[in-house]
This record gives sequence, C-alpha cells and structure tokens, in this order.
Amino acid sequence: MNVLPMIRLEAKDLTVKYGDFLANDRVNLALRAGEVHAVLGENGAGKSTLMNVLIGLQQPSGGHLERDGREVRFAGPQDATTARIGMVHQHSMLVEQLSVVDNVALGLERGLGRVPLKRLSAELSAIADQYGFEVDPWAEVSTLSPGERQRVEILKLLHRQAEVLILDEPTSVLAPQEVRPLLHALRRLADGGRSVVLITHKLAEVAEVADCITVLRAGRVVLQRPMQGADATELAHCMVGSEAQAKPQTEGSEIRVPFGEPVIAYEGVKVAAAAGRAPLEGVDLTVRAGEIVGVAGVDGNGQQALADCLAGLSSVTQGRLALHGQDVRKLSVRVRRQLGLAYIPEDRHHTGLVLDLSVADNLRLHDYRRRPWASLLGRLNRKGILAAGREAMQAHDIRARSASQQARWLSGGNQQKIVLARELTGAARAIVVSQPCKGLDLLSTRAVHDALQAQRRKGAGVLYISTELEHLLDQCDRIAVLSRGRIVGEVHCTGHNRADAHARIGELMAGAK
Amino acid sequence: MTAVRIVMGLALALFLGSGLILLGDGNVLAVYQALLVGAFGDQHGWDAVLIKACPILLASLAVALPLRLALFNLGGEGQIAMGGLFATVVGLQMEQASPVVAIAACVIAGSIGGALWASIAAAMKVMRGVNEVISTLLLNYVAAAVLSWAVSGPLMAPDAPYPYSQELPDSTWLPSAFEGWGAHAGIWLAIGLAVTLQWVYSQGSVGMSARIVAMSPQTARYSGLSPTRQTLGTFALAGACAGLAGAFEVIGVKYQLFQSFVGSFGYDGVIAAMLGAAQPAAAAVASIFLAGLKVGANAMQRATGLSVSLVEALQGVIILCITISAAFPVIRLTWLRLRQPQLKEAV
Amino acid sequence: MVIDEFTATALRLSVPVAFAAMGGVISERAGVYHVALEGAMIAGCFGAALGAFHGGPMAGLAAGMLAGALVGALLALMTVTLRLPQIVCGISVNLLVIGLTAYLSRIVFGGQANTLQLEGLVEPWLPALADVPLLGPAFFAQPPLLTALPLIAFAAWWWLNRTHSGLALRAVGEAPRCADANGIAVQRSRWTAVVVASVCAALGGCFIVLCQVFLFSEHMTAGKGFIALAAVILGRWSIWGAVIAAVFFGGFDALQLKLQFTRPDLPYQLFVALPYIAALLALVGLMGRSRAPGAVGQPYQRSTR
Repeated sequence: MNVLPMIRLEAKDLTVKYGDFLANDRVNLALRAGEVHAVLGENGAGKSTLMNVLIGLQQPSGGHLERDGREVRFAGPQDATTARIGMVHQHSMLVEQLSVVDNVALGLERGLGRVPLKRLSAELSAIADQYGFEVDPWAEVSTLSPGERQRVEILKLLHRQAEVLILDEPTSVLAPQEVRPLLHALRRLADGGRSVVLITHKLAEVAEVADCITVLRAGRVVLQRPMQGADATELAHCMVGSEAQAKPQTEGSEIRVPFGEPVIAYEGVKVAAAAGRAPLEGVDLTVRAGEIVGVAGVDGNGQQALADCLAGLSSVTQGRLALHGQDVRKLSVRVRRQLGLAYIPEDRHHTGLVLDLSVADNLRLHDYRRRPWASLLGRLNRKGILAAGREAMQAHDIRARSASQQARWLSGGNQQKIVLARELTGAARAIVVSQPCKGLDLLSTRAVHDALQAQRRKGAGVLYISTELEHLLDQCDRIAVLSRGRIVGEVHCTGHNRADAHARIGELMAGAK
Repeated sequence: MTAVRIVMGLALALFLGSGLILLGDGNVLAVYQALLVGAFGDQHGWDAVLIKACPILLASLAVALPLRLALFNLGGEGQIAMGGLFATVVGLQMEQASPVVAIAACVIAGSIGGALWASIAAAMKVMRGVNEVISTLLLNYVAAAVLSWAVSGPLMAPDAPYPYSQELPDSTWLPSAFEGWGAHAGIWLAIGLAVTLQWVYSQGSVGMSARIVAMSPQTARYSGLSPTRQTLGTFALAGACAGLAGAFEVIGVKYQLFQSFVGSFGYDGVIAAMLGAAQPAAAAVASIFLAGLKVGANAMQRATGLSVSLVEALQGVIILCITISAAFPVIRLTWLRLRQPQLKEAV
Repeated sequence: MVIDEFTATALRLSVPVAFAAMGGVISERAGVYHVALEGAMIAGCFGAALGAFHGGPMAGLAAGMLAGALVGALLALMTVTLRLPQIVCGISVNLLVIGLTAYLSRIVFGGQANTLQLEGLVEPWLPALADVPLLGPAFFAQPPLLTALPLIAFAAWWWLNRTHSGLALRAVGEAPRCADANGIAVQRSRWTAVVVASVCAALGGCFIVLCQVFLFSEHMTAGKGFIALAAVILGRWSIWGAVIAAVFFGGFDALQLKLQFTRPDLPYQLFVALPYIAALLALVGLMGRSRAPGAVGQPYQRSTR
C-alpha cells in the first residue's frame, strides 16, 4: 500500500515537566485511522502522562497536538471528548452507584434539562448489538464484573462517536479467557475506521493485534515501527534498556533448600464476604519453611480475604488457620508477629504505611511502644528512632530526602522498600505478600523479589499472592490457583515446564478441572 | 509556621472586629481597651477570669482529645451537666465526711458522670457508625432535660422559688486558688491536666498511637492498635474532663446545682480547642483568652454601652479567621501562581 | 378533629427541619458535609426579620434567602475552594453567624427585639382547599411556606434525580475523579450544592420568623439545624426521605406538647427529651443499613501525578 492511512491525532515534540522531572521528553506519536497502535513501556516510563495529555487531563509544557492536521489545545477532558477522542482508563472511570445509562449520560450536557434515559438506553443497546457486546442499560455498575465494566466504558466512547480510542492496560483486570475477545473487539473497532491505542506492558498481546508500536522509556520514544517483522526480544530490551536485562530471575530458584516444617496452614478456611472483598469458601493450603508458594487468580476471587485472615485483619468463620502448627484464629496481630508473621499488604498506602508519618516513624510502626523506642513512662525516643531510620535507609537503599521526610513523597518503589525493611526482619518466618510489585518499575520489582528469595534461603516460608502470572512463574516453587474463594488446583514449577505450567494455570483459572 | 499563621488570623479577626464595633457606633480603641483592662487589669478581673477559665479549659480538653483522632465531641454541654449532677448527688451525702474525702468523692463522681455520658456517643459510633457530631449534639438536649428534671424534682431545695438544689455541705467546698481570692483551686488541677496531656500527646507513644489511628485506621489495625479502643478510651477521658468542669462549677463556685449552670461553657470549649489546634496547652491559653473576653464583656458594656453580644460576635469572627488561616499558605501560593502563569507545574 | 389539629401542629413544627434537611441532602449528595445548616437557618431568620421590618413579608422572604446564600457562599469558599476540613468549617461558620446575628439584631432592632410584631406570611395559599377533608385543615389552612414545601421538595427531587446538573452533582458526591474525567466542573457543582442547600435551610428560618413567631431572638433556631442532619441520615440521603424524617421529628415535637397537657403527672422534661431520644434510637437502628455518598467529607483536588 502506497498511501498511509490518514493521521487522526498526532503529538509533536510533546514534553511534560514536573519541576525538574521530565515525564515526557519530546515525544512524537502519530495515530492513524484503521490502526491499532500499541504503546509499550515499563511502569513509570511516561505512558500514562502521555495519554493524559491526549485526553486533556494534563497540559503539556512543550510541543503540541494536532487533530486531523490542525493544531489543537485541550483545556480539559470535555474538549477532548468534543474532538472525538476517548479513553478507557486502567482504573474504571464509571461511577459505581449509578446505572449504566446514568454513566453514559454523565457529562453529555450541562444544565437543568431532563436526562433522556429511555432514549439513551435504546441507543446504547443498538451500539452494543452492532459490536456483539451484551449490556443491561439499567444495571448498577457496582454489580458488573471488571470485564463488563470495560465494555460499558467502550460503549460509552462509541456513543460519543469517538474516532480515537485509547485503552490503558485493559487486560490487567481480565481473566485469561476474556483477553482474546477484547483484543478481537479492538481489531474490529480499528477495521471500522477508528484509531485504537493500546497501552500495555504485555508483549504477547501486542503481537496478536497491533499494527504498529511505540516503545517509551524514561519519558522518551526509543523505538517506533510497524509490528510486522518486529522481534519480541528486541522489544523487551528496548523497554528495559541496557542496565537491567529482562531475563527471568532464575539465580535464586536454583538453590534448593529442602523444605521444612509447615509454617502456614489453611485448613478448610472460610471467611465472610465484606464490602468490596470476596469471601473464602473453604481454602486448603500449606506453605513450608524454605518454600515460596504462589497464589494465582484474577483479582476479586478472595485474594484480599486470604491475606487479611492470616494477618489478623479479618476473622475466620470456619476451619483452622495455623502458624507453625499453632492455631492462630483467636490470636492478636501482635502475637502472630511474635510467631514470625510478616505481611506485605497490597495497599501499601492505606495498610502498609501511614503516609503522613516520616520514613523513620513508619519503620517503627510495630515496636514504637516498646523499649528502646519508648521509655518506661511512654516517652518516645525520637533521636533513636531517627538514627535507626537513617541506618535502615542505608541498608535497604531507600531513597528519600531524609529519615524525617513524610512517606507520602517517596516513589512507589521506595515506599515498598520501607514496608519490606520493616516486615522482613530476622524474625520473619511466615511471610505473606500480596501484589507486592503493583505499580513498580523493573528495578524495584527486582528488589522485592531479591528480598523474598533471601528470606526463603534463610528458611522462611512465603505465600506470594499476585495477579502477575509471569512473576509467580519466576519466583515460586508451587502455584495454587484461587478461584471463587477456593483453591482449585496446584501446579509445580521446576523452571523447565514453564509453558506447560502457564497453560495449566490458565485452564484452572478458567474453571477447567 | 503554625504560630505565624495563627497570629495572622488573629490580626485579621481584630481588623474585622473593628468593623463590627464601628457598625455599632462604637469606639474601637475604647472597646478593646475596656475588654483588656476589664479582664486583666486588676486582681478582681483576674479572679473572675480564672473562675471562668477553669470550666472552659476542661471543656476544651474534652474537645481537643477526640479531635486528635479526627473525631468531634460537641457534647461538652451535656457532659458538663452530667458531671455537675453526679457531683451534686454524691456531694449531698458528704455531710459527715472530711474535706479531703468529700472533695475527692465529688471530683471522681463528676468525672464518671461526664465519662459515662460521652461514652454513649462513643459506643454508638463504634458499634453502629453513628456520626458523633450529631449524636453528641442530640445528647446535649437529653442531658439538659435530665438536669432540669433532677433540679426541679428530687434534688430541689425545699422552699426554693425556682429550681435549684439544696446547698452542698461545706466539707465539699473547694479551697481558694490563692489566699483571699474568689477563684477556686480547681484551676490548678485543670492547668496541671492540660500540661500533662500536652506532654503525653506530644512526647509519648500515646500521642503517636492517636496520630496513627487518625491518619490511617487500616494500618493502625495491622500495627495492633484498635481504633475502637482508642475511640472509646479517648471519649471517656474527654467526658471525664468535661464532667470535672461540671463538678468544679458546683463545689467551687455556686455550691448548689442550678438548671442553667452549664451556660455556654460547652461551646466555649469547642472554640478554645479549635483555637489551640487540638493541642492541650494551646487550648489552655485560648481558654484563658476566651474567659478574658467574657469577663471583659461586662466591663465593656458598662464603659461603652455596646451590648455584650458583641463579644459573642467577636468570638465567631476570631474562630472563623483562625480556621481560614489554615489556608493562608494555599492562598499565597494561588495568588503567586495567578500572577505568574509559568509557575503552573509547581506541586 | 383532634387528629387534624395534631397533624396540623406536627406539620408546622416539621417545616424548618424539613427545609434544612433538604439542604443537607443536596449538600451531602455533592460530597460536602453541611454542618452549618443551623447557621444558614438563623441567617434566614435574621434576614427575614430585617426584610420584614423594613419592607414587609415578601421583602423578608427575599432577604432571608439572600442571607442564606451568603452563608452558603462562605462555607463553599472554605470547604470547596480552600479545601479546609468540612466539619471544622461548618462549626466555625455556625459560631460566626450565631454570634453575628445576635449582635446585629441588637443594633437593628434595638431594645424592641423581643416585643417585635413583624408582619408575617400567614394567609393560607389556596384557601379554597382548606375545607377538603383530611388534608384540608392540616395542610391547606396553613401558612403558604408550608403548603409550598412539597412543591419545593419536588423541584429539588426533580433537579437532583432527573436533570443533567443533578446527575453531575450525584457523580461528584460519589466519585469526583470520575466526574472530573467526564468533563464535569467538580468545584462549581459543589459550590452550587452548598449555596442552594444554605438557601433551603434559610427558608426554614424564614418560616419560623414569618409564619410562626414574627420576631427575631438570639439562638431562636434551638438546634433545628442539627436535627436536620439526623434527618438527612434517617432519610438515607434522599430528598423525600429527609422530609419524611423531618415530619417524624415534628410529630414527636407535637406529641411532646400534647403530652405535657394530657399527662401532667409525668415530668414534662421527659416529653421535651422525647424527640431527641427518638432521633438517637432511630440513628442507632438505621445506621448500619444505609450508605453515605462515597466521597462525602473529602475535599477534591485534581491531581495530575
């Protein structure tokens, strides 16, 4: 084909600066009609910032945008919508307490006019039929699955007649069997003349559906080319750069320590459902000393409950839960910690740290009431706490302005390092980690995995809960699959059967026996 | 930093207050002078100030302590009432007791009364999540009704022309703060309490625990802290402080229980706590300042003819300005940003 | 007829709380706690008295609503624009308005404040309907603001649940980030909500002055603004629910007055405390089952990182 399809939206020399930090550095991006354009990059590479500029949530410090060849400025998301550009965010932008129609109507018009709910619902159903989606316009969004919510968001963009659709990590919330249909839908949308942008860090998806690729690293475009003929390894190298190769970590897993006593044991554990948290319906799982056991599964199948009940943050309604063989159901968090429990929670902002306290204070969260951190009368030993904080920052490579800086201002990776430093002490024997690498770049992920391997070599048992299958396959000896509150199967990982293990786990997650 | 903006807030309040005075055809200087001199000019003024400052100080502690947990105890009025009631009931039994025993009994009874009343709202909060702003306020009205019934019924003094209780035996009467002064010794206990609590909350691990629970309840739970225990304990302590105020009013000032003895102390405590940014020591200073305003108000009315409600208005202006002063850094930043658009990427 | 009289009294006593509660719902659905309903109400009282004093009842109504709007603007400035903690702001605004109105009323009305006889809004609206059985005396033979209450409530309900700006307001209260991403002006929506809410509460104050007591006295609202907050919760953050809850409290208030006369053997304080105890019990009973708007109490700032 001699003539390239028309450019719908183009970013020219786009730069976004936060103070001294360059989130985007002279980025050039051309989005053409009928194409699926994949934007690849590690966490923190600048993809989200770039997209925020494209949809008007962020103003560029330099460069400009062109829509159909004409320069445009978006003062806010409304301008982008008017320009027929829409985005499906990684974290759903639907208002949960409103119905599907309400959400589609949101932002459509201003003023005191009546919201034409019936008409909108008819229009919505028509579009849904056209693309083979199924949707109940009157359902409250909180009752929909992540996959369904995604479809609603796409439908909303189509209803607004979007010509450029941007999707940010859309498959991160989907079960493996939902990924294919989504990618096919994106292909259909592109074939219909739209320009589709897919932001992802998963190379496999890119290969399936993309027409061309842009790789971002540290805010700059390091590669831009058609998909045809691209090499996966080359792409992977581009994403992470030369300082950190993207090879799977196998050093730690070669050293085999004979597995010891069970340190964590779930026996028929049931936990009740709570707000936003799925229940456990009878879990049997054991972790022995020196072992890393992974728990795979799509988010929302009971992972939070699994971690919470062991950490003592939620109660077990049935079954037995043991640490080193001792039933801990009635024991407080403090006692469990004495038994060697360590917990790296998924929500490091609200469960792992107190953001408004200093780095030093966060490190002392569990023991500030005991000597030597507090005197007999209860007076805090501030000097000692600060000194210990400085030491820990050195020892664990925690980057912050000082030990008294508030944890809020540190990067995600450094915040996680505080949690690791505090939890993974010499006394840790039974370690639960939940989604520890969420939002972290490669180096920080490395640091987390190194720390876990070190603990394992020391003889601790680790329960590693994650939705990132790749990480689990790299790090774990054994992976259990959690589905609808139960363990539906386990797969052993020897390092040689990776592809088979991957497939088997996918089957188990999809509900196969 | 905080001190600077509070001073700026006070300055703004003084400025706006002057406007109010002018509105009433008053002489600004004369009014402020009368207030100041009337309150702090002589022993008589100081005496009156100390008497008023004691309940306000204790009431401010009752607000400040839960405020550190981001909880709002607006039930000072009811807790003071209950404290006074309990102290009166016990005090009336202390005819034969020695002063030490009698006073201790009344003090303890008053504290328990206030603590119990505050705990009702705390229990509602932890068990059912009832917003404590509303529950403490509603409980004020219930307490007022209970007090009214007690004073016009079982406790009423025989032959009383309007409801008040029998007089308490003199074994329960508090000694003076200074030899020959009218103010009672309760002010010492109040100040001591403020200083102790200030130390405990800023230097002690208790303060750290409160901060953690207030900032991040989930993390607090994982640290072994219990937001429930903290809420219940803090409210009980707060109620005890308010109850103490009630007890002191009865055994230190009037020696009888009057239906309207609480007056505005509850809300004055709220103002003092907010002025002191929930720091017990600062709240204590604010309490003395507020007491001074009240004492000065009468002198001001005599001297300038302006009604005492001006002081109520001034109080409102002061608290508003102090609250707004918390935004001064933001206002300054926004103003700078408006004048220099290229600074937009900052923070 | 006794029932009619009781109903009539109950309805009359509910009006101020009902207006304030409607305001509370509007504000909280947009994500802003409005603890200053009491202040807005008393501002309405003062404005109504001032306006009626100088220009008659309609002027009083207008002035009362304006006063409420001013209070709302102050609260909105502090909570929405300056993003100060909402409850602290509400308490401060309350204290300011209560103190200010006490002082200003001395200046404006001088010594005659307590003996004022303002011209009120008493003539029933649609008097022809006053003879309708059941509803007539209780509802139509009442001051116009009472009869207008359901209409105003309907307008508020329609706005909140059927219009674009109401939908935007609800989204802002549940998930401001999502609303923002949809192009909704979060700050403006909240400002509108707070000001409208304050005007509603002020209407309650206007009713007290122009339809009930015809004068202004300090602290005349006696905590109705706070009972309104309870009504908001009991009404599960819906307009009609809050109005019904307000009528519930009004009913208890009327009951209390009646019982004082019919049961003189019981201490009257028991009856005085009755509405408040009922409110507390209702809060305990119903609290677990309803949900406040998702983002209420949290100031919103568009963060770009």
